[in-house]
Amino acid sequence: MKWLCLVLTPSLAFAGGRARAGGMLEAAAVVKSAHGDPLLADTPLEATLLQLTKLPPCKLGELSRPAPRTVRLVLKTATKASEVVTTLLRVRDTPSPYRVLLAPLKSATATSPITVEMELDGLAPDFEQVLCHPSLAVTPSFFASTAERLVANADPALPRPWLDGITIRATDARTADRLIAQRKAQVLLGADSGDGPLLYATYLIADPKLGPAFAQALEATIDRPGLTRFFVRPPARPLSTLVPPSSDPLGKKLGEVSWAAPSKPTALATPIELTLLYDTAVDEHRAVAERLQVKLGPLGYRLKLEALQRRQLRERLTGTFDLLLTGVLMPPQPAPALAIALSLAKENGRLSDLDGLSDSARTEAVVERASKPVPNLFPLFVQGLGVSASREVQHLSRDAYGLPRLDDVFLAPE
Amino acid sequence: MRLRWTIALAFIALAMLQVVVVVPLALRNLSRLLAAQQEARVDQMMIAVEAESARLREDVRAAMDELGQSQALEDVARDAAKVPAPPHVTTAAATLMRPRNLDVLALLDEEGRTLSSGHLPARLGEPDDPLFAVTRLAPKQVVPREVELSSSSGLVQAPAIVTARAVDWGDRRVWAVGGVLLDEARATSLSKLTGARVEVHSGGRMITSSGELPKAPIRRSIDVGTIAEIRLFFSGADLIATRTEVLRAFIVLAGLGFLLAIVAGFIISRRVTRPVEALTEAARQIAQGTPGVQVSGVPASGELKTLITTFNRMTDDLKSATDRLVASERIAAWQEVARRLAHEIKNPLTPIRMSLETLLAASQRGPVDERFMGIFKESAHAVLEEVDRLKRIVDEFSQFARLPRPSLAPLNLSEAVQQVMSLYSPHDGLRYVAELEPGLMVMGDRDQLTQVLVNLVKNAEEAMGSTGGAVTVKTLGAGAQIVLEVADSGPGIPPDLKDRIFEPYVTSKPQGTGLGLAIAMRIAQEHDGRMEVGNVPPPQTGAVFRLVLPRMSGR
Repeated sequence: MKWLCLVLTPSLAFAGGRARAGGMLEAAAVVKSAHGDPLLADTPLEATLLQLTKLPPCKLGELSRPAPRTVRLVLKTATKASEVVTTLLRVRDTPSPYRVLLAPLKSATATSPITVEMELDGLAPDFEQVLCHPSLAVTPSFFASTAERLVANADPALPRPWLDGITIRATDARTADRLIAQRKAQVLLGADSGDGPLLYATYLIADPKLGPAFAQALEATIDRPGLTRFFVRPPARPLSTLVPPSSDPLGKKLGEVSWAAPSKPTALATPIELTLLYDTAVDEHRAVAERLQVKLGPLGYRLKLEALQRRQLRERLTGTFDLLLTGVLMPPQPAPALAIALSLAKENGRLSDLDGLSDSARTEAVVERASKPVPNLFPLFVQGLGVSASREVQHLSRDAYGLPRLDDVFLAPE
Repeated sequence: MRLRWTIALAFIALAMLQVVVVVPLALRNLSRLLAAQQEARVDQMMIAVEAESARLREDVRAAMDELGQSQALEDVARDAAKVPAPPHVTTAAATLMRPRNLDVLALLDEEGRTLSSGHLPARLGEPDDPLFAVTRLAPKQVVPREVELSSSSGLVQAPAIVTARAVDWGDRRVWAVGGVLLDEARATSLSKLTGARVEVHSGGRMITSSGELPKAPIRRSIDVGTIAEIRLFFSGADLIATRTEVLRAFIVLAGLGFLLAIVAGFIISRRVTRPVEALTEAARQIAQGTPGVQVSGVPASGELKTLITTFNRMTDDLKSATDRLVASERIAAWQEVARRLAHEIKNPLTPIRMSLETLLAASQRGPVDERFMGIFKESAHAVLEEVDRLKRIVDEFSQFARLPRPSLAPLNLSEAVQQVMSLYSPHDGLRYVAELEPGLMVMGDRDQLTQVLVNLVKNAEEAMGSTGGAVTVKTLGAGAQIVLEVADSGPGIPPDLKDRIFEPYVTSKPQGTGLGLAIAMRIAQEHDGRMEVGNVPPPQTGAVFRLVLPRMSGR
């Protein structure tokens, strides 16, 4: 059993005019492993853990637009502007599903030790929100690490007014429940319920050569509600559009879209053998892969399963494959989310004409395009992070990605 | 081949015969014995495997009996009809399966649809016909079935033994079909139990195995219904190792025996053949003329000792007899010589006596006168002539008696004959003809061979006498022999003398001593040669003498 202990030194700041309560927050996380690379740590739980030590640019300072195509970040932490620039350029130049988030970024320059100037190709109205995506997280220089311990130095600008430290225990679901029941943990990350947004979307990507016959077979048998209900850990819901519905009015329309299941085709005269790649770190993906085996087998598609580490899976994503099952953490804004989805289907060019539209027209166009299926991209379901906390944990909120803000909580005296 | 080697080889052959015949027979019998023991051991193992198989079926039966009566399964039956199915129903199979050590468990509704599957959760809601068919068999019957599992290579059929139990809730029935897979764990268990390599084959392919394939495997198999076959490969290495050890021991012992046989063969053959070899050597010496050779200093026993004793006695007796014979022959020879010599000496004495008596009578008849002187001269002349004859007889006898051993040296016979013949020239009607083949080499004493030739020529001259004729001398090669031939044109050899012509004092001539040809014969024998005599074929007359000598080797 691994322990990840974060010790946050006391802050002199005050919140809401109340004095700091202090104390150590004990959290249990139902997680197999944690990635240190933000581009790979993209399940909600992994992103939550990652953000205890790494923060995306939008949380490191104040963002502003001195010009329509210029975004300025003034850092208010001890993070160096050059570190932010390095991170942004690395994400932009590294093949990954999140690379398209920085597609509008023309250049990023550290104009001062605390100022980053970002030049954009277009207006990119969502760019400031995109900078909150966990995959863009920067490791602040004020974190020091020892062998198994990360220490956060005092930084008055960070909103950590209450806790002395956070201890995370990575464990399985049963043990986590027991820890909560025994009051040995106050927060359970990875609970079966939660009210946050569901943005971790899982897609099946097919080789375009498989054609419409495969798409028909899959859509006719996949039964997304059943799949989600029986094989996916909650909170989750079926996903029948290219991007998850968002909370804004236009985004909500996506939740109302439902693709009609085609009729079940006859089995192939000559069965074909396909290899399905999936992420070995995500339990649901193994279950879904087996479900696809069972469902597609009678129709003549014999699926061989190949479990890959996430880094290998992402590398395979850029090449050729028969079938690939992957999850990505979508931004809540429909346009960048659709950009990620289309990049998975290698259909990046579909959004090039949106930049000149007004916000509402742009969103409407995005929603309309996200409602139409792409032949080789099959959205399956979308998940969030279930979080439960004991009563003493106060002020537990979530950010726009549905990730809990553990820094904000304080422990009420019992 | 010498007797010693023959006996030694006989010993070696006997030893090899033992190796060739005894070792394979012993090995074959040993192999049969070991193989029988190995078979018995494998049979015992197979009994254990059968028992383990029965225990496994009984475990499945007991686990499913307990499951069929469990509250948890009753809860599933109660809630199975709820829509949507509650999680405790959809995940029940996996939950119920593990504590009961089952690998396969499917909860099916009355139509065979999967309410929950522990071995393939992805089958939820789908029919599972092979397992549902088990529900139609006799109650509690444990049967082999192929169940579908998810694997990296796709959905695969895996052999298992399963049984079905029904749970009723009101008018609803839920079937639980569960069992264990014949998988790697079972193969490992059987492999540990038996020490054999265990392979599970199904659908024409090996689906799992445990243990290394042993050397010289002994194969057994168990059919699991018609769906699978469990193959066990027991090690025959012990059998091979034992055979190898025994074979090695046999080879070492056989090798030692072989060496001992060789050594013993040589020792015994030497012990046996030494007396025989000594006897052979003694016999050879006796054959070469050494009388009284004794075999002594040779260890012998039994018949060989008796043989040596008998041989020594025999050689003693033979020597005594030979000595006596030689003595008697010597006496006879001396008697003959004395007789011949007396005869030869006696012959001149008569004329001498008569001459002297005539002379005495003449002297008593009156004074010396002319007639007396005539008688005196005639008598004196006769006496002198006879005295010369006596002298010649004595000289030749002396020469015959003192003939030395030849001094052998390479000699060109034709050349030597040519030199002798050059001294002869025609006279008194005698002619000398030499027909010599050049380059005839012999090992010989030049003087003695010259004497032979002179004797033969002289003999020819005397044979022809005053009538004259031709003396023909030839040399010729005849294979490994060289012939010196002297022929005359005289009257030839009378038949009655032919066989005795080379004996001393045998002669057909009035004035001959009878020693010339005897000397020639003796010289021929001293040169490992011989003398032959014959007559010239009619109508011509004459005698032919041949000296036959061995040709000198190396030419």
